[in-house]
Amino acid sequence: MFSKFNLKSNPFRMTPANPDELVWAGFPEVKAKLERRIKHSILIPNSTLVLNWGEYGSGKTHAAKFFSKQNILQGLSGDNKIPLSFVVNMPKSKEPIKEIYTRIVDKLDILMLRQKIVESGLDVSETVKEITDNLLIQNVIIAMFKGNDTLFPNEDDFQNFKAYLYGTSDLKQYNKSGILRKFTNDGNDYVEFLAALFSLLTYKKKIFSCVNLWIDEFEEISLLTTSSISGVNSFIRTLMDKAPNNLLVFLNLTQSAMMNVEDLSEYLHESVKSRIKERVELRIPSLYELKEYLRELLAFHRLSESKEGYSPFEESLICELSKDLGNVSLRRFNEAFSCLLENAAVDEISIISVEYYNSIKSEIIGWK
Amino acid sequence: MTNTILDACTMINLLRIDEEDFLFKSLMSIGYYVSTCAYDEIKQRMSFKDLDETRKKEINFVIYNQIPMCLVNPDMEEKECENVKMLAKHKKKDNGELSSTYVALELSRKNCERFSFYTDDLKAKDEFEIVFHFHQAGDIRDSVDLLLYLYWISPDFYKSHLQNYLRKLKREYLLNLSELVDYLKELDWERSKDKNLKRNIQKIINGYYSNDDKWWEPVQLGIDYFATHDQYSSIKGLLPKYNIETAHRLINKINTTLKLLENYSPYKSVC
Repeated sequence: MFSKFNLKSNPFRMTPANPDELVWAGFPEVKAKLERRIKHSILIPNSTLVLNWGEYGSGKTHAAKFFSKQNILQGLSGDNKIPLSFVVNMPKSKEPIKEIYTRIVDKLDILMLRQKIVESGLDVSETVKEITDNLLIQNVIIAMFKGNDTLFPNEDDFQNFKAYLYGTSDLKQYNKSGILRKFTNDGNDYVEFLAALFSLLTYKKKIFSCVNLWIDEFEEISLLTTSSISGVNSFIRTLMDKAPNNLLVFLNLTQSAMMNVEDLSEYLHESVKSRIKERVELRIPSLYELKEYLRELLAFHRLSESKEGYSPFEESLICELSKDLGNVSLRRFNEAFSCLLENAAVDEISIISVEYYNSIKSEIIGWK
Repeated sequence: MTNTILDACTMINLLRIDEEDFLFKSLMSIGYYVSTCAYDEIKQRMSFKDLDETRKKEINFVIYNQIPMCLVNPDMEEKECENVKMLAKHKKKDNGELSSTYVALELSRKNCERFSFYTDDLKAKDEFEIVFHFHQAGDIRDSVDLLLYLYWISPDFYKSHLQNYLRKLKREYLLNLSELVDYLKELDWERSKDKNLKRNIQKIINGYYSNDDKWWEPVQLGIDYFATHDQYSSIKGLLPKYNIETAHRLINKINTTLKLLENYSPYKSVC
């Protein structure tokens, strides 16, 4: 459908069908800041909190997904071990800590992690003692990664250990391993476990250089009750205190009329605010930034290499559209360019000009 | 003698955000009136969504055992209230806000006192304010005002309680809208051929996240569209039942109050 534009697919689709299509275009300053922060954590043992903020559709979730791609992390790591990345959405349930924990456990590939530990030669039993003095957590970590033939006769049984982490398994089978109770719902066990897990997996940067935890849609904290807000603050503070070396936490905050970055102070305790080392703003694009973004994004999606610039869009159209939409986030531009491209494909238009845009303007810029 | 009259929406909000009947115990200590019409609306419209069984039982106890003790004499409501209707230009059928306004006027004259009528239906507030002003019967306030009042009048109502209840009240309004936005974001609408669907989803999502003071306008337009088009039944089922404009006014007031509470505390009662 888009080949006549020398494009593999629609570059402006919100959710690329193929993860390879998840690319970074334009905005070199934001990219450099995030790269620098991740490289810093890859190389230096120090846990850090970063606040990424911007309007809806400014690219925060995109950044989380892009910087969680294995090839991107590998590129940033060079000869060092790569980071282990988790992207979780801020829950708005009554038990946000349990939900964040559960979402992280959902993403744990215990078999893969176990293989990496074996390859690294790390002594789990000894290391975990250095990391935490909590015997329950020590035993859970040892069972999960070391196990034994009685506990886990088959390799797959390691993966099934997740049932314990979710609190759904029968406890009896783990009693001999010193696991005498389930995790309690007050959040302490969850944060202790995650801190110990992250510390083990990044111990002396032998297996992973660091853990990158992206908490997306952090603005949802405004929908929590006071006790849940305190719980989230305590979770972040404790996680960073107990995993002090190789944890990089990104809080993605969408500012809106109901919540902007100044309002955040109402929801973050001083103990957490003081740990924010950097604030990265994902701004509304200027015309120059928009053009650079378009040029790079289109280049990524070309069927064959060419110096076609903004083709099939005429430069005057980009200026006109930018003027009409005004100060809006990148998502609104993506929606508009996507709509223009799809309409042009159907109408068999090869060059998308101001005239063509004007003929379908109401459809392109919608309610604005 | 109390001078507090509560509307159904305020009662429902308070019941939903209350914890272990803390608010209702505070309310009982100052006393309040509810009109029989508003009481019927409470019974009809009470929502137990997201509440646990214990809380449901507590709420039902309040509704069926405590509120009836605070009902005004039905004879008072049966009297002619055409003058109130005419003054307020009330064209709709009789409702809890109308009966509460009339009750406030009656009680103010009977007791020689000014009354406060608490409602979160800010459209009704705009409608009936003229009655309170012209007859100097008191004023119309909302749940935020009531929480602030309960805070200063009740010795065991601390600032942390106030902040908690204000946040819970905000959640009541935002959660429904936020769930709708989450649902719409998950829909594969970008690839839909239905231009009206796309346009109205965009209105709701972009409005919700907009920094514009009038963010609620496109949101309300989108909601109105889906409310009147039966082919989008899955979206229709998630639409907030309240008016977005009035909700946004209340949310702004909560935000302002929470911000003030960061640095200040309302003076407490010295008695």
